[in-house]
Amino acid sequence: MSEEKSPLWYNFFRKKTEFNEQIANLWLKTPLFNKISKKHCQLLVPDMHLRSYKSSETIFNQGETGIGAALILSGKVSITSNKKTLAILETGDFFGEVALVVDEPRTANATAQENTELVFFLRQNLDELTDRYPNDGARLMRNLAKILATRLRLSNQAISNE
Amino acid sequence: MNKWFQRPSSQATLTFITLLFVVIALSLLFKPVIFALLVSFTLYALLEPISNQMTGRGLPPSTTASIILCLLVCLSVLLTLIGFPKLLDGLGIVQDKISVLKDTMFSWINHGQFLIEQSGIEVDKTSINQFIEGSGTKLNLDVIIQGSNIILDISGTLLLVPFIVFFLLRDYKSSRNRLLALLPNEYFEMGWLIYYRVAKQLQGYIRGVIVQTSILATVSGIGFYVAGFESALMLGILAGLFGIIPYLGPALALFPPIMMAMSNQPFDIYYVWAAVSVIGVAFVFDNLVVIPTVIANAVDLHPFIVIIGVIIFGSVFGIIGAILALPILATSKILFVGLYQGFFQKHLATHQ
Repeated sequence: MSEEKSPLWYNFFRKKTEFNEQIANLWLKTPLFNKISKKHCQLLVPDMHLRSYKSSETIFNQGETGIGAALILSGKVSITSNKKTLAILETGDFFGEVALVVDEPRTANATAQENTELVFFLRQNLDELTDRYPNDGARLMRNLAKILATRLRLSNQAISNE
Repeated sequence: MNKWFQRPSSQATLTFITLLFVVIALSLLFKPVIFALLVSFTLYALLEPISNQMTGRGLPPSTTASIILCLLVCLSVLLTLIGFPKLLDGLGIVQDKISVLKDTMFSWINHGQFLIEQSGIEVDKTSINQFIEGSGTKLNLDVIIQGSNIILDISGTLLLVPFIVFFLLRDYKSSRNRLLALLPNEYFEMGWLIYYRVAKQLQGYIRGVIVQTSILATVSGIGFYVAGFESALMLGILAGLFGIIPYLGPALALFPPIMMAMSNQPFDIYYVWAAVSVIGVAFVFDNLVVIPTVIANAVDLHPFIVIIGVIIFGSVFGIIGAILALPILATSKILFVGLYQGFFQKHLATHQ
Protein backbone atom coordinates (compact mmCIF):
# COMPACT_ATOMS: atom_id res chain seq x y z
CA MET A 1 0.00 0.00 0.00
CA SER A 2 2.75 2.43 1.02
CA GLU A 3 4.58 1.73 -2.26
CA GLU A 4 1.60 3.04 -4.24
CA LYS A 5 1.45 6.28 -2.29
CA SER A 6 2.90 9.18 -4.27
CA PRO A 7 6.08 10.37 -2.51
CA LEU A 8 5.18 13.97 -3.44
CA TRP A 9 1.74 13.68 -1.82
CA TYR A 10 3.20 11.99 1.23
CA ASN A 11 5.87 14.69 1.65
CA PHE A 12 3.32 17.46 1.51
CA PHE A 13 1.72 16.39 4.80
CA ARG A 14 4.89 15.38 6.59
CA LYS A 15 6.11 17.66 9.41
CA LYS A 16 9.22 19.47 8.17
CA THR A 17 11.35 19.54 11.34
CA GLU A 18 10.63 15.92 12.13
CA PHE A 19 11.41 15.01 8.52
CA ASN A 20 14.69 16.98 8.53
CA GLU A 21 15.71 15.21 11.72
CA GLN A 22 14.92 11.88 10.12
CA ILE A 23 17.15 12.78 7.13
CA ALA A 24 19.96 13.98 9.40
CA ASN A 25 19.81 10.74 11.43
CA LEU A 26 20.01 8.66 8.25
CA TRP A 27 23.03 10.63 6.98
CA LEU A 28 24.75 10.34 10.37
CA LYS A 29 24.51 6.55 10.19
CA THR A 30 26.48 6.51 6.91
CA PRO A 31 30.30 6.27 6.89
CA LEU A 32 30.34 9.57 4.98
CA PHE A 33 29.00 11.49 7.99
CA ASN A 34 30.92 9.45 10.58
CA LYS A 35 31.81 11.65 13.62
CA ILE A 36 30.16 14.73 12.07
CA SER A 37 28.32 16.89 14.62
CA LYS A 38 24.59 16.09 14.71
CA LYS A 39 23.72 19.76 15.20
CA HIS A 40 25.73 20.82 12.15
CA CYS A 41 24.27 18.03 10.05
CA GLN A 42 20.74 19.12 11.04
CA LEU A 43 21.56 22.71 10.04
CA LEU A 44 22.71 21.46 6.61
CA VAL A 45 19.65 19.31 5.83
CA PRO A 46 17.28 22.17 4.81
CA ASP A 47 19.74 23.00 1.99
CA MET A 48 19.80 19.40 0.69
CA HIS A 49 17.61 18.37 -2.24
CA LEU A 50 14.74 15.93 -2.06
CA ARG A 51 13.81 14.09 -5.27
CA SER A 52 11.17 11.43 -5.96
CA TYR A 53 11.60 8.76 -8.65
CA LYS A 54 9.04 6.35 -10.05
CA SER A 55 9.81 2.66 -10.41
CA SER A 56 12.26 2.00 -13.33
CA GLU A 57 13.08 5.70 -13.65
CA THR A 58 16.72 6.51 -14.37
CA ILE A 59 18.42 8.48 -11.60
CA PHE A 60 21.60 9.03 -13.59
CA ASN A 61 23.43 7.42 -16.48
CA GLN A 62 27.03 6.28 -16.71
CA GLY A 63 29.00 8.99 -18.53
CA GLU A 64 26.92 11.96 -17.32
CA THR A 65 28.70 14.50 -15.11
CA GLY A 66 27.45 14.26 -11.54
CA ILE A 67 27.25 16.94 -8.86
CA GLY A 68 26.66 15.02 -5.64
CA ALA A 69 25.85 11.93 -3.59
CA ALA A 70 22.35 10.61 -2.93
CA LEU A 71 20.91 8.97 0.19
CA ILE A 72 17.95 6.59 -0.13
CA LEU A 73 15.10 7.67 2.14
CA SER A 74 12.72 5.02 0.85
CA GLY A 75 12.66 2.52 -2.00
CA LYS A 76 15.40 0.59 -3.80
CA VAL A 77 18.08 1.60 -6.30
CA SER A 78 20.05 -0.64 -8.62
CA ILE A 79 23.59 0.28 -9.64
CA THR A 80 24.59 -1.20 -13.00
CA SER A 81 27.48 -0.97 -15.39
CA ASN A 82 27.72 -2.58 -18.82
CA LYS A 83 24.40 -4.42 -18.22
CA LYS A 84 25.87 -6.00 -15.05
CA THR A 85 24.19 -5.28 -11.69
CA LEU A 86 26.83 -4.10 -9.25
CA ALA A 87 24.59 -3.49 -6.24
CA ILE A 88 21.01 -3.14 -5.03
CA LEU A 89 20.79 -0.36 -2.48
CA GLU A 90 18.05 0.20 0.09
CA THR A 91 16.87 2.79 2.62
CA GLY A 92 19.84 4.33 4.46
CA ASP A 93 22.36 3.49 1.72
CA PHE A 94 24.06 6.21 -0.30
CA PHE A 95 25.70 6.32 -3.72
CA GLY A 96 27.35 8.69 -6.23
CA GLU A 97 29.84 10.09 -3.71
CA VAL A 98 32.67 10.27 -6.31
CA ALA A 99 30.90 13.33 -7.76
CA LEU A 100 31.48 15.17 -4.48
CA VAL A 101 35.19 15.27 -5.26
CA VAL A 102 35.63 15.43 -9.01
CA ASP A 103 33.87 17.01 -11.96
CA GLU A 104 34.00 13.70 -13.86
CA PRO A 105 31.38 11.52 -15.57
CA ARG A 106 29.45 9.00 -13.43
CA THR A 107 31.06 5.56 -13.38
CA ALA A 108 27.78 3.55 -13.31
CA ASN A 109 24.04 3.80 -13.97
CA ALA A 110 21.56 4.25 -11.11
CA THR A 111 17.92 3.24 -11.59
CA ALA A 112 14.99 3.25 -9.17
CA GLN A 113 13.75 -0.32 -8.62
CA GLU A 114 10.51 0.88 -7.04
CA ASN A 115 9.03 4.27 -6.13
CA THR A 116 12.04 5.85 -4.49
CA GLU A 117 12.76 8.94 -2.47
CA LEU A 118 16.29 10.35 -2.47
CA VAL A 119 17.99 13.26 -0.78
CA PHE A 120 20.96 14.71 -2.65
CA PHE A 121 24.01 16.12 -0.88
CA LEU A 122 25.64 18.29 -3.55
CA ARG A 123 29.16 19.65 -3.96
CA GLN A 124 27.67 23.05 -3.14
CA ASN A 125 26.47 21.67 0.22
CA LEU A 126 29.94 20.26 0.88
CA ASP A 127 31.47 23.70 0.14
CA GLU A 128 28.99 25.28 2.56
CA LEU A 129 29.84 22.70 5.24
CA THR A 130 33.55 23.44 4.78
CA ASP A 131 32.94 27.23 4.93
CA ARG A 132 30.69 27.11 7.97
CA TYR A 133 32.35 24.31 9.95
CA PRO A 134 35.90 23.73 8.66
CA ASN A 135 36.58 20.91 11.16
CA ASP A 136 33.51 18.96 10.06
CA GLY A 137 34.33 19.72 6.41
CA ALA A 138 37.81 18.26 6.84
CA ARG A 139 36.39 15.22 8.69
CA LEU A 140 33.89 14.59 5.90
CA MET A 141 36.65 14.81 3.29
CA ARG A 142 38.68 12.29 5.31
CA ASN A 143 35.66 9.96 5.48
CA LEU A 144 35.21 10.35 1.74
CA ALA A 145 38.88 9.53 1.13
CA LYS A 146 38.53 6.39 3.30
CA ILE A 147 35.42 5.27 1.37
CA LEU A 148 37.12 5.80 -2.00
CA ALA A 149 40.32 4.06 -0.80
CA THR A 150 38.31 1.04 0.39
CA ARG A 151 36.54 0.88 -2.95
CA LEU A 152 39.85 1.06 -4.82
CA ARG A 153 41.24 -1.77 -2.69
CA LEU A 154 38.15 -3.92 -3.37
CA SER A 155 38.37 -3.20 -7.11
CA ASN A 156 42.06 -4.15 -7.14
CA GLN A 157 41.24 -7.40 -5.30
CA ALA A 158 38.43 -8.18 -7.75
CA ILE A 159 40.76 -7.59 -10.72
CA SER A 160 43.52 -9.75 -9.27
CA ASN A 161 40.99 -12.56 -8.50
CA GLU A 162 39.73 -12.61 -12.12
CA MET B 1 13.56 18.37 -38.71
CA ASN B 2 12.96 15.98 -35.81
CA LYS B 3 16.53 14.72 -36.10
CA TRP B 4 17.78 18.30 -35.93
CA PHE B 5 16.05 18.77 -32.56
CA GLN B 6 17.64 15.57 -31.23
CA ARG B 7 21.17 16.85 -31.84
CA PRO B 8 22.90 17.98 -28.60
CA SER B 9 24.11 21.18 -30.28
CA SER B 10 20.56 22.10 -31.39
CA GLN B 11 19.11 21.32 -27.95
CA ALA B 12 21.83 23.38 -26.26
CA THR B 13 21.32 26.30 -28.68
CA LEU B 14 17.53 26.29 -28.25
CA THR B 15 17.75 26.11 -24.45
CA PHE B 16 20.41 28.83 -24.43
CA ILE B 17 18.29 31.15 -26.63
CA THR B 18 15.19 30.51 -24.47
CA LEU B 19 17.16 31.34 -21.31
CA LEU B 20 18.56 34.44 -23.01
CA PHE B 21 15.03 35.65 -23.82
CA VAL B 22 13.94 35.01 -20.23
CA VAL B 23 16.90 37.05 -18.94
CA ILE B 24 16.20 39.89 -21.42
CA ALA B 25 12.49 39.91 -20.47
CA LEU B 26 13.36 39.99 -16.75
CA SER B 27 15.90 42.79 -17.32
CA LEU B 28 13.24 44.87 -19.12
CA LEU B 29 10.71 44.15 -16.38
CA PHE B 30 13.13 45.17 -13.63
CA LYS B 31 14.71 48.02 -15.64
CA PRO B 32 13.86 50.79 -13.10
CA VAL B 33 15.65 48.91 -10.31
CA ILE B 34 18.30 47.09 -12.36
CA PHE B 35 21.16 49.23 -10.99
CA ALA B 36 20.00 48.65 -7.41
CA LEU B 37 19.71 44.90 -8.13
CA LEU B 38 23.24 44.76 -9.58
CA VAL B 39 24.68 46.58 -6.56
CA SER B 40 22.68 44.31 -4.22
CA PHE B 41 23.88 41.10 -5.88
CA THR B 42 27.46 42.40 -5.73
CA LEU B 43 27.06 43.11 -2.03
CA TYR B 44 25.41 39.73 -1.53
CA ALA B 45 28.41 38.01 -3.14
CA LEU B 46 30.65 39.90 -0.71
CA LEU B 47 28.53 39.41 2.41
CA GLU B 48 27.52 35.78 1.88
CA PRO B 49 30.62 34.32 3.60
CA ILE B 50 29.96 36.53 6.65
CA SER B 51 26.31 35.46 6.67
CA ASN B 52 27.41 31.80 6.36
CA GLN B 53 29.71 32.19 9.37
CA MET B 54 26.90 33.72 11.42
CA THR B 55 24.30 31.09 10.48
CA GLY B 56 26.98 28.45 11.10
CA ARG B 57 27.13 29.64 14.70
CA GLY B 58 23.45 28.82 15.05
CA LEU B 59 21.92 32.25 14.33
CA PRO B 60 18.67 31.98 12.34
CA PRO B 61 18.89 33.41 8.77
CA SER B 62 16.40 36.20 9.62
CA THR B 63 18.50 37.38 12.58
CA THR B 64 21.69 37.22 10.51
CA ALA B 65 20.08 39.21 7.68
CA SER B 66 18.67 41.76 10.19
CA ILE B 67 22.09 42.36 11.80
CA ILE B 68 23.70 42.84 8.38
CA LEU B 69 20.79 45.10 7.31
CA CYS B 70 21.35 47.33 10.38
CA LEU B 71 25.06 47.61 9.55
CA LEU B 72 24.29 48.37 5.88
CA VAL B 73 21.73 51.06 6.79
CA CYS B 74 24.26 52.73 9.12
CA LEU B 75 26.91 52.58 6.40
CA SER B 76 24.49 53.98 3.78
CA VAL B 77 23.50 56.88 6.06
CA LEU B 78 27.16 57.60 6.78
CA LEU B 79 28.04 57.47 3.07
CA THR B 80 25.13 59.75 2.18
CA LEU B 81 26.04 62.26 4.88
CA ILE B 82 29.74 62.33 3.98
CA GLY B 83 29.64 61.44 0.29
CA PHE B 84 26.71 63.64 -0.83
CA PRO B 85 28.38 67.03 -0.13
CA LYS B 86 31.67 65.73 -1.57
CA LEU B 87 29.92 64.63 -4.77
CA LEU B 88 28.22 68.05 -5.10
CA ASP B 89 31.60 69.74 -4.54
CA GLY B 90 33.12 67.51 -7.22
CA LEU B 91 30.35 68.47 -9.62
CA GLY B 92 31.00 72.18 -8.90
CA ILE B 93 34.71 71.74 -9.65
CA VAL B 94 33.93 69.93 -12.93
CA GLN B 95 31.53 72.76 -13.89
CA ASP B 96 34.25 75.38 -13.23
CA LYS B 97 36.82 73.33 -15.12
CA ILE B 98 34.59 73.10 -18.20
CA SER B 99 34.34 76.91 -18.39
CA VAL B 100 38.13 77.14 -18.09
CA LEU B 101 38.57 74.39 -20.68
CA LYS B 102 36.33 76.38 -23.06
CA ASP B 103 38.54 79.48 -22.61
CA THR B 104 41.70 77.41 -23.14
CA MET B 105 40.25 75.97 -26.35
CA PHE B 106 39.31 79.52 -27.52
CA SER B 107 42.87 80.72 -27.00
CA TRP B 108 44.33 77.66 -28.76
CA ILE B 109 41.99 78.05 -31.72
CA ASN B 110 42.69 81.80 -31.98
CA HIS B 111 46.38 80.97 -31.99
CA GLY B 112 45.79 78.32 -34.66
CA GLN B 113 43.67 80.72 -36.73
CA PHE B 114 46.42 83.31 -36.53
CA LEU B 115 48.93 80.77 -37.88
CA ILE B 116 46.53 79.63 -40.64
CA GLU B 117 45.69 83.23 -41.66
CA GLN B 118 49.40 84.00 -41.85
CA SER B 119 49.76 81.14 -44.34
CA GLY B 120 47.08 82.83 -46.54
CA ILE B 121 44.08 80.45 -46.03
CA GLU B 122 40.68 82.08 -45.24
CA VAL B 123 38.87 80.86 -42.12
CA ASP B 124 35.27 81.51 -40.95
CA LYS B 125 36.17 82.78 -37.46
CA THR B 126 32.61 83.48 -36.25
CA SER B 127 31.18 80.02 -36.98
CA ILE B 128 34.09 78.27 -35.16
CA ASN B 129 33.66 80.53 -32.13
CA GLN B 130 29.88 79.97 -32.15
CA PHE B 131 30.47 76.19 -32.32
CA ILE B 132 32.82 76.22 -29.30
CA GLU B 133 30.54 78.54 -27.36
CA GLY B 134 27.54 76.29 -28.11
CA SER B 135 29.41 73.05 -27.28
CA GLY B 136 30.78 74.54 -24.06
CA THR B 137 27.36 75.67 -22.86
CA LYS B 138 25.78 72.33 -23.87
CA LEU B 139 28.55 70.34 -22.18
CA ASN B 140 28.23 72.48 -19.08
CA LEU B 141 24.45 71.99 -18.93
CA ASP B 142 24.78 68.26 -19.71
CA VAL B 143 27.29 67.78 -16.91
CA ILE B 144 25.04 69.57 -14.41
CA ILE B 145 21.89 67.68 -15.48
CA GLN B 146 23.57 64.27 -15.78
CA GLY B 147 25.57 64.80 -12.60
CA SER B 148 22.45 65.71 -10.63
CA ASN B 149 20.60 62.70 -12.10
CA ILE B 150 23.45 60.35 -11.19
CA ILE B 151 23.57 61.73 -7.63
CA LEU B 152 19.77 61.29 -7.30
CA ASP B 153 19.99 57.75 -8.73
CA ILE B 154 22.80 56.84 -6.34
CA SER B 155 20.86 58.22 -3.35
CA GLY B 156 17.76 56.24 -4.39
CA THR B 157 19.88 53.14 -4.86
CA LEU B 158 21.56 53.59 -1.49
CA LEU B 159 18.14 53.58 0.16
CA LEU B 160 16.88 50.53 -1.77
CA VAL B 161 20.01 48.35 -1.69
CA PRO B 162 20.04 47.40 2.05
CA PHE B 163 16.50 46.04 1.82
CA ILE B 164 17.20 43.98 -1.31
CA VAL B 165 20.40 42.64 0.33
CA PHE B 166 18.37 41.75 3.44
CA PHE B 167 15.94 39.63 1.41
CA LEU B 168 18.78 38.09 -0.61
CA LEU B 169 20.63 37.06 2.56
CA ARG B 170 17.46 35.69 4.12
CA ASP B 171 15.69 34.05 1.21
CA TYR B 172 18.05 33.68 -1.77
CA LYS B 173 19.14 30.10 -1.04
CA SER B 174 15.67 28.76 -0.27
CA SER B 175 14.18 30.50 -3.34
CA ARG B 176 17.00 29.18 -5.54
CA ASN B 177 16.48 25.65 -4.18
CA ARG B 178 12.73 25.87 -4.82
CA LEU B 179 13.31 27.14 -8.36
CA LEU B 180 15.86 24.45 -9.22
CA ALA B 181 13.61 21.81 -7.61
CA LEU B 182 11.19 22.49 -10.49
CA LEU B 183 13.66 20.91 -12.92
CA PRO B 184 12.62 17.44 -14.10
CA ASN B 185 14.59 14.55 -12.55
CA GLU B 186 16.40 14.01 -15.85
CA TYR B 187 17.90 17.51 -15.83
CA PHE B 188 18.25 18.04 -12.08
CA GLU B 189 21.99 17.35 -11.86
CA MET B 190 22.76 19.16 -15.13
CA GLY B 191 20.91 22.27 -13.89
CA TRP B 192 22.75 22.24 -10.57
CA LEU B 193 26.11 21.62 -12.23
CA ILE B 194 25.69 24.66 -14.51
CA TYR B 195 24.42 26.79 -11.62
CA TYR B 196 27.36 25.68 -9.44
CA ARG B 197 29.93 26.58 -12.12
CA VAL B 198 28.31 29.95 -12.94
CA ALA B 199 27.87 30.92 -9.27
CA LYS B 200 31.43 29.94 -8.37
CA GLN B 201 32.94 31.86 -11.28
CA LEU B 202 30.75 34.97 -10.80
CA GLN B 203 31.38 35.09 -7.05
CA GLY B 204 35.13 34.79 -7.62
CA TYR B 205 35.00 37.46 -10.32
CA ILE B 206 32.89 39.92 -8.28
CA ARG B 207 35.09 39.57 -5.17
CA GLY B 208 38.23 39.90 -7.31
CA VAL B 209 36.93 42.97 -9.14
CA ILE B 210 35.99 44.73 -5.89
CA VAL B 211 39.49 44.17 -4.51
CA GLN B 212 41.05 45.22 -7.86
CA THR B 213 38.92 48.41 -8.08
CA SER B 214 39.73 49.39 -4.50
CA ILE B 215 43.49 48.92 -5.01
CA LEU B 216 43.47 50.75 -8.36
CA ALA B 217 41.41 53.63 -6.94
CA THR B 218 43.69 53.93 -3.90
CA VAL B 219 46.93 53.79 -5.91
CA SER B 220 45.78 56.31 -8.54
CA GLY B 221 44.06 58.51 -5.91
CA ILE B 222 47.32 58.76 -3.94
CA GLY B 223 49.19 59.40 -7.22
CA PHE B 224 46.86 62.27 -8.21
CA TYR B 225 47.07 63.74 -4.70
CA VAL B 226 50.88 63.65 -4.72
CA ALA B 227 50.94 65.15 -8.25
CA GLY B 228 48.83 68.05 -6.96
CA PHE B 229 45.54 67.42 -8.79
CA GLU B 230 42.32 68.97 -7.51
CA SER B 231 39.65 66.36 -6.54
CA ALA B 232 42.22 63.55 -6.48
CA LEU B 233 39.67 61.35 -4.68
CA MET B 234 37.11 61.65 -7.49
CA LEU B 235 39.78 60.99 -10.15
CA GLY B 236 41.02 57.95 -8.21
CA ILE B 237 37.50 56.50 -7.91
CA LEU B 238 36.92 57.06 -11.64
CA ALA B 239 40.22 55.34 -12.50
CA GLY B 240 39.22 52.38 -10.28
CA LEU B 241 35.81 52.11 -11.96
CA PHE B 242 37.22 52.37 -15.48
CA GLY B 243 39.76 49.72 -14.53
CA ILE B 244 36.94 47.14 -14.50
CA ILE B 245 36.58 47.57 -18.28
CA PRO B 246 39.08 45.18 -19.84
CA TYR B 247 41.67 46.50 -22.32
CA LEU B 248 39.88 49.84 -22.91
CA GLY B 249 39.96 50.78 -19.20
CA PRO B 250 43.34 52.60 -19.15
CA ALA B 251 42.40 54.80 -22.13
CA LEU B 252 39.05 55.71 -20.53
CA ALA B 253 40.67 56.29 -17.13
CA LEU B 254 43.11 58.72 -18.73
CA PHE B 255 40.33 60.95 -20.08
CA PRO B 256 39.14 62.72 -16.85
CA PRO B 257 42.63 63.66 -15.51
CA ILE B 258 43.70 64.86 -18.97
CA MET B 259 40.57 67.06 -19.13
CA MET B 260 41.41 68.40 -15.69
CA ALA B 261 45.04 68.99 -16.73
CA MET B 262 44.01 70.86 -19.88
CA SER B 263 41.65 73.12 -17.99
CA ASN B 264 44.38 74.35 -15.62
CA GLN B 265 44.99 78.08 -15.97
CA PRO B 266 47.67 78.90 -17.06
CA PHE B 267 48.05 75.67 -19.02
CA ASP B 268 50.92 73.58 -17.64
CA ILE B 269 52.19 70.53 -19.56
CA TYR B 270 53.41 69.08 -16.23
CA TYR B 271 49.82 68.08 -15.33
CA VAL B 272 49.33 66.21 -18.62
CA TRP B 273 52.53 64.23 -18.02
CA ALA B 274 51.57 63.70 -14.39
CA ALA B 275 48.13 62.32 -15.43
CA VAL B 276 49.71 59.96 -17.97
CA SER B 277 52.34 58.81 -15.43
CA VAL B 278 49.87 58.22 -12.58
CA ILE B 279 47.46 56.23 -14.79
CA GLY B 280 50.38 54.38 -16.40
CA VAL B 281 51.96 53.37 -13.08
CA ALA B 282 48.58 52.43 -11.54
CA PHE B 283 47.59 50.22 -14.49
CA VAL B 284 51.04 48.60 -14.81
CA PHE B 285 50.82 47.75 -11.08
CA ASP B 286 47.25 46.51 -11.64
CA ASN B 287 48.22 44.27 -14.58
CA LEU B 288 51.46 42.93 -13.11
CA VAL B 289 50.51 42.48 -9.45
CA VAL B 290 46.78 42.80 -8.73
CA ILE B 291 45.13 40.94 -11.63
CA PRO B 292 47.42 37.86 -11.55
CA THR B 293 46.95 37.44 -7.78
CA VAL B 294 43.31 38.50 -7.37
CA ILE B 295 41.38 37.60 -10.53
CA ALA B 296 43.70 35.31 -12.45
CA ASN B 297 41.74 32.70 -14.40
CA ALA B 298 38.45 34.10 -13.09
CA VAL B 299 37.28 34.29 -16.70
CA ASP B 300 38.71 32.17 -19.46
CA LEU B 301 37.95 34.12 -22.64
CA HIS B 302 39.92 35.01 -25.76
CA PRO B 303 41.07 38.69 -25.71
CA PHE B 304 39.51 39.30 -29.15
CA ILE B 305 36.07 38.15 -27.92
CA VAL B 306 36.46 40.36 -24.83
CA ILE B 307 37.39 43.49 -26.85
CA ILE B 308 34.54 42.99 -29.34
CA GLY B 309 32.12 42.24 -26.47
CA VAL B 310 33.16 45.36 -24.54
CA ILE B 311 32.78 47.57 -27.64
CA ILE B 312 29.33 46.14 -28.54
CA PHE B 313 27.97 46.17 -24.96
CA GLY B 314 29.48 49.60 -24.39
CA SER B 315 27.92 51.12 -27.50
CA VAL B 316 24.48 49.60 -26.77
CA PHE B 317 24.24 49.96 -22.97
CA GLY B 318 26.84 52.64 -22.24
CA ILE B 319 29.41 52.48 -19.46
CA ILE B 320 27.36 49.96 -17.41
CA GLY B 321 27.29 47.68 -20.48
CA ALA B 322 31.07 47.92 -20.90
CA ILE B 323 31.58 47.05 -17.21
CA LEU B 324 29.18 44.11 -17.36
CA ALA B 325 30.43 42.78 -20.72
CA LEU B 326 33.07 40.47 -19.22
CA PRO B 327 30.90 38.71 -16.58
CA ILE B 328 28.01 38.41 -19.09
CA LEU B 329 30.29 36.85 -21.73
CA ALA B 330 31.90 34.50 -19.19
CA THR B 331 28.48 33.39 -17.84
CA SER B 332 27.15 32.84 -21.37
CA LYS B 333 30.17 30.69 -22.19
CA ILE B 334 29.78 28.47 -19.08
CA LEU B 335 26.03 28.23 -19.69
CA PHE B 336 26.37 27.17 -23.32
CA VAL B 337 29.29 24.78 -22.69
CA GLY B 338 27.44 23.25 -19.69
CA LEU B 339 24.24 22.80 -21.71
CA TYR B 340 26.10 21.29 -24.64
CA GLN B 341 28.10 18.90 -22.42
CA GLY B 342 24.96 17.88 -20.54
CA PHE B 343 22.91 17.20 -23.69
CA PHE B 344 25.87 15.48 -25.37
CA GLN B 345 26.42 13.13 -22.39
CA LYS B 346 22.68 12.35 -22.29
CA HIS B 347 22.74 11.68 -26.02
CA LEU B 348 25.70 9.29 -25.62
CA ALA B 349 24.11 7.52 -22.64
CA THR B 350 20.78 6.92 -24.43
CA HIS B 351 22.41 5.82 -27.69
CA GLN B 352 24.79 3.30 -26.10
